[in-house]
Formats: sequence, structure tokens, C-alpha cells
Amino acid sequence: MTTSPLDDLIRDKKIVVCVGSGGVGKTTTSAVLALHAALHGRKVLVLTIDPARRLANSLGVQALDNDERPIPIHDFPADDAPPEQRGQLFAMMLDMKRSFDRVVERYAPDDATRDKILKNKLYKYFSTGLAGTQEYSAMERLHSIYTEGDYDLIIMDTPPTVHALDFLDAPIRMAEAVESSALQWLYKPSVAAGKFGFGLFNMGSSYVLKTISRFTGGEMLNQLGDFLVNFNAMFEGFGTRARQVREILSSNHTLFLVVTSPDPATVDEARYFRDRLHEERIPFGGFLVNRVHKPYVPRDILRTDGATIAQRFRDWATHNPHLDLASDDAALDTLGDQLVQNAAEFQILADLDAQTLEALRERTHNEVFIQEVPFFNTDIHSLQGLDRVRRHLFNLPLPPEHRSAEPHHAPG
Amino acid sequence: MSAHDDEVNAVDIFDKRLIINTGKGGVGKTTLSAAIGLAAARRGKRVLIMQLGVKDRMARLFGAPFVGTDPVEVEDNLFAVNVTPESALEEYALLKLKLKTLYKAVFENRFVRTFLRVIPGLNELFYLGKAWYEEAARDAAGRPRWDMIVIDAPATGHGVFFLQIPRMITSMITSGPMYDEAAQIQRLVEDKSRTALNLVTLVEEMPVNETIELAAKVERELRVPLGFVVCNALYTQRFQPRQADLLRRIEDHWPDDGGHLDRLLDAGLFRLDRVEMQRRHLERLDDALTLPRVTIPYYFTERFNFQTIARIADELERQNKAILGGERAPQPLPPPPPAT
Repeated sequence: MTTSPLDDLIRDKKIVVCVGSGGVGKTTTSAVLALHAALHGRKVLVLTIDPARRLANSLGVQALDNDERPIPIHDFPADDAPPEQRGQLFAMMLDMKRSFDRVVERYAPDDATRDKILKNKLYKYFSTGLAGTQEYSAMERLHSIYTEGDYDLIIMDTPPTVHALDFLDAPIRMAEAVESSALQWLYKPSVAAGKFGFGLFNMGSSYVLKTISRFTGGEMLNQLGDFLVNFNAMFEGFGTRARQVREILSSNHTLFLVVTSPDPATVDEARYFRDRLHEERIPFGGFLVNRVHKPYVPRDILRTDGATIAQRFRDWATHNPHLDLASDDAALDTLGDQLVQNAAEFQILADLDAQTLEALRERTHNEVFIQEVPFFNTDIHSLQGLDRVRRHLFNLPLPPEHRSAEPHHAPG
Repeated sequence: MSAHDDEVNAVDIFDKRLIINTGKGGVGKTTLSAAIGLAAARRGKRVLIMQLGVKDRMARLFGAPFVGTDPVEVEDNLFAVNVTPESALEEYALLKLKLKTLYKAVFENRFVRTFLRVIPGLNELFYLGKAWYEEAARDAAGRPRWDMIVIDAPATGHGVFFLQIPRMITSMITSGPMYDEAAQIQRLVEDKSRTALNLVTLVEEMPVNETIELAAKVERELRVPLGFVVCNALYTQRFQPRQADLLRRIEDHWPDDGGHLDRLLDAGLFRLDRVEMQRRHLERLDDALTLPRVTIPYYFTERFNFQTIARIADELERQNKAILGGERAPQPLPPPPPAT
């Protein structure tokens, strides 16, 4: 059987991470990659961060939650994957708040510390806040699934981030901040050992803290201190695990795919993602570009006179009298013009997208894998919808009912 | 206020001092921020557009050479700035400490930096603090420095989180300078007479879902006054109902031969499908929300440039007026046909 470039890229990987800006279809793409690999015999988990019920429904289940859930694929209509050779698909949604609670439950040294942490006001704030905790939770979850699960492949959807690779950087930043060296500098050793009270702060850092307290006030600093002291017992493992995950993600078992749309600003960001991955020596597979407009007709057809088109419809109608087109003669007159103008508008979109993607190819010296998926006439929220995306991603033939709905097969 | 006004919840966004535009990534927040700013500046207001820690996009939209951490005039009366957390912190800290050396010793300390980087919401607090500071700024004669500040907020998730921070701080501590600052910011962002939060969305499944959830969350937890829901990049209907009906009838029987006419019909059908899909999502949006809705059509144009921003500014001006006149969701003017 022939395989597509994307098949070849993913074949021997254990983790595929989809990164990209918000709103480009990362979640759908992740689900489709997982579906395809599972159809072709692998045991796959897709780890999504999107709470959208429609995605769950499109996978054939009511809802997704924080637990791994099997997705039935045996009856999925896919002629490229014989039922007896199919693997298994599991899906899980990462609930950020609950995931961080899990981390605490798992690593707190005792029940009393655990309860103290979970009830701390700052903790509640931290665990739902976005500067790193989401990414940290995702990283922790990936770590435990990778080291304890028996999946052939994990497909990971990532939170939309303002700064390209928060997903990689934030966990390590967070680990650095809570590790002992920084803490020891701030706090007396007695505090780090869990004894808390007046004289909390280390003399060496006191002028700094005094200055900071002019901004925060003592109450805030004390809250923070209380939080850090309780959290301290868990700190050690944080950095180790964050670095382990970083190592896994940099290995050749892993592949990062940058998902984007052809919007110039989004493509700029996608290119920035790629550069950052490159700098960080993270294996980068290519760009998956969703929502690409394609031309419908060759350009010269857009100069056709609408009346000519109307006349051809009329001629055709004389052979199909049961359609009774003649009664709509006035509408038919203008339909030709409208059809041409409509196609001209899509031509503009197609030209814009083509220019943007051409520039992307040039700037990556034509060395980077780019797979385009067209802009569809409907939302993707059914198995058929997912399959449609899959066929485009993996260069599979389209079923006849989709062919006419897509500009993809336009001549010229 | 009449019962009718109650229904449409009319808002005059040009009457506000702080406009915050939020929504999912890629829905056009930056474009909208530029257009609102331009519309207000054309009314003679002195306007500041604030971008928050992103790659600047205002310079290109307005044809200005560069927009950085200091305000730059990009059009008459219209200024843009790209605030970074570092610039906002430094400005704020120097205001308080007066001494640059002290600022450096404390805030550029390696350990302090490490902590500052991971405290969730700190950057966002600096952004809001900067917005508050600019809103409160007065010249020697006591006149406001800005008549309107437009914030191009980070994508949803980050967007709501950013507005939650003052309230989180005031619920966590009870006194001190940080409490006071947070309380001041909170008063500004919750003040109906000064602030409006616009929810920007595309008319597609996921963005609409997210907008409905966001509106509920804002009303339930944030208490930041909502302005408009702005539906961006709407495909206008090209085909009259009779034409649409005819198109479908022909398409049903036309040979699926991939010929030019077949393809033109396919393109027409694609348009009908998308427009119909949009109509359903608009209906869902209007059923779920009580906000006035502004609708910006998709402009089929090769270059997204100043001319398009100006066109959107005109639409905002026109639709804002219609909303004040009691309409809930004014129709946009159809975009000009493509030049071929």
C-alpha cells in the first residue's frame, strides 16, 4: 500500500505534539491524526485540552473527561484500513484544575499537607491561572502516561499560547522558581523545613523583600510564603520530571507538528514556532495548514459573460423540461453573473492563501513538509467530517459525495 | 429608559473611556481595535490603542514605521502602543521607588525575576495597571490625557483571566498597597459608565460556543460591563432566495463532470452552505445573548490595508448609531464587488 509523507513522518514516533496559535483547528487535527494511526493498527491516545462536546460527539462518545476513554473505531467506514488490522483509539480531555489537584494528591508527603495546599487561596488561584500551570499539568500528565501507559502513540493537543513554546518552557521555569536554591535564598532554612513564623525571610534577601512589600504589602507576602512553605515538600520532584519530559520531547521518538491557517499573521506565528523548535533542538515535522481556499475555475472563466452562462442553462433546461427552469427566467438571467462574481471572490481568497503559503515555502527554503487541508463548507463535527480531514491530510482518495463540495479538484 | 431600550440593552461604545476587545485567537480582535480607535479618532477624540505583549500589528495596519513601548501617533489623534510586562513594571516601579538603582537591584535580581516570571497573572496585572494609569492621567489643566483607550486583549482564556485578577487580589487580601491598586483597577473595569467589554467572534461553531460561554462567565463572575458582540468576517449572501433555489435545483441535476459550469455551481453551493451555516450560528448567538450585535462583512480584497480598516470604522459608526436607535443587530452594508 502506498503511504503519504505524513504517514512516513509519524510511523515510528511515540509522541506527536500539535502546537500552534488558537483557532486554527489544532484539536480537530490532533483527533484526526490519532484516528488515522489507530485505524492503521496502533494503540493510540489523543490527549486533548478542548472541552468541546462536539468533538467528543464526533468521536462517537457523549463527553470526554480526565480519564482515558476508549473510542469505538471498528465500524468506522475507512476502505484504507481493513477492520481486522485496526488498532485501538483512546481519548482524554485534560481538565486543568483537576490535573493540578492530581499532581498535589500524588506528590504531597502526607494528607495534612495535601489538604492545606488544596485549601490555600493562592493555590486555587495558581492552579486555575494560566502562566504555566496549564502547561505544567499537561506535562505531568504526559509524563505519567508515557512512563506508565502502554500506548504505541500519544497525540497531544496543546493549549493556545501567547508565547510560542510556553508548553515547553513554562514547566521548567516553574520548576526553577520553586526549587530550593531560589527558596533558600528567600527563606531561612527553618522555613524550608516547614517551620513558619516571624523572621521568615533570609537576611540576605531582606532589602529586596522589604522593597517588594512596598508594592504588595505584608499580607500578600505572607500568603505567598505560606503557600510556598506548604508546597515546598513537593518541589523536589517538579524539576526532575519537567526535565525528563523535556528530554522525551527532544528525543527522536517525538515529533512536533505546527498547525496553522493560511492567515498571514497566523503563518508568521507558525514560522516563529518552527524557529523556536529549531533553536531548542526539538524534532519538527512540518506545517499542517487548515482552511486553505482553492480556486474553482481557471482564471479566464471569471471573465465569462453571465448571459452566456444563463443561455447554457436554458439550453440544458430544454432537454430537462421536468426541472421547469423557464418559470424562473428573471432569476436565471442574473444567476450567471452572480455565479461568476461568487467564484471571483473565492479566487481572491485562493490567491491570498497561495501567496502566503508560497512565501512560507520560500522562507523555509522549500525544505519543510507542508500539508494543506481545504476550507470546508461545514463545521467538522461528525465522524464523516473527521474522515474528510483525514483524507486530505493523508492524501487518500475522496469519496464521491465530498468531491463536488470541495474546490480541491479544480482543473488548472 | 423605555422597555424597548431594556430589551436591546443599547450601548454607545463611543461614550466609553475604556474599550476592551476580547475573543478567541484569529477572530479579528486587532482589526476591530484598530477600527474602533480610528472611528473614535475621527470623531475628534484622542485615542490610545494598547496592544499587550504581542508582535506589533498596528504599525503595518496604519502604515507607521514602528510601534513600541511608547505611544506613537499613527493617525490624527490616534496613538498606538505595544505594552510589555517589563515596560509596564519598570514604569510603575520607578513611579513608586523614584530610584533606578533600587529598581535594578530589586527587580532585576535573578531570583526575583525567576519568581516574577511564574506568578500567574502578574503580567496581566501590570497591563491592567498600565491601562488604569493611562485612563487616570490628566494634563496640567486637569484634562484627561486620553478620551478613549482601546485594549486589544489576549485570546479568550487569557482574556477573561486577565480581567479576573483585580477581583482575585481583593478577595485574597484585605489591605496594603497591592490591595489598593487592585481595588482601583477593579472599580475602573467594572464601571458601566466608563468601560465596555466587546466580545469578538467569527460566525462558526466553536467561536460562537466560546462567545456564549464567555458572556455567561463575564456576567456571572466578572461583572465587567459588556458592550457589543462583534461578528466578524461574515460572508454576505450573494444569491437572492429565488436564485438560491434555482441554483440548488440546477446543481442537483447538473452532470458532475468537473467542467467549468459544474465548478461554478459548486462554488455557488459552497457559498449557500456557508451562509446558511452562519445564519444558524447567528440565531444561536442571538438566542443566548441579550447584547447588541455588530456585524462586519468579509471584505474580499487582495490586501488588508488601511482602506479596509476605514471601511470597518464606518460600519461601526453606522451600526453604533442604529443600536442607539433601538436596533439590536443592524445589517451591514454589502461589501463592494471584487475587481476583476
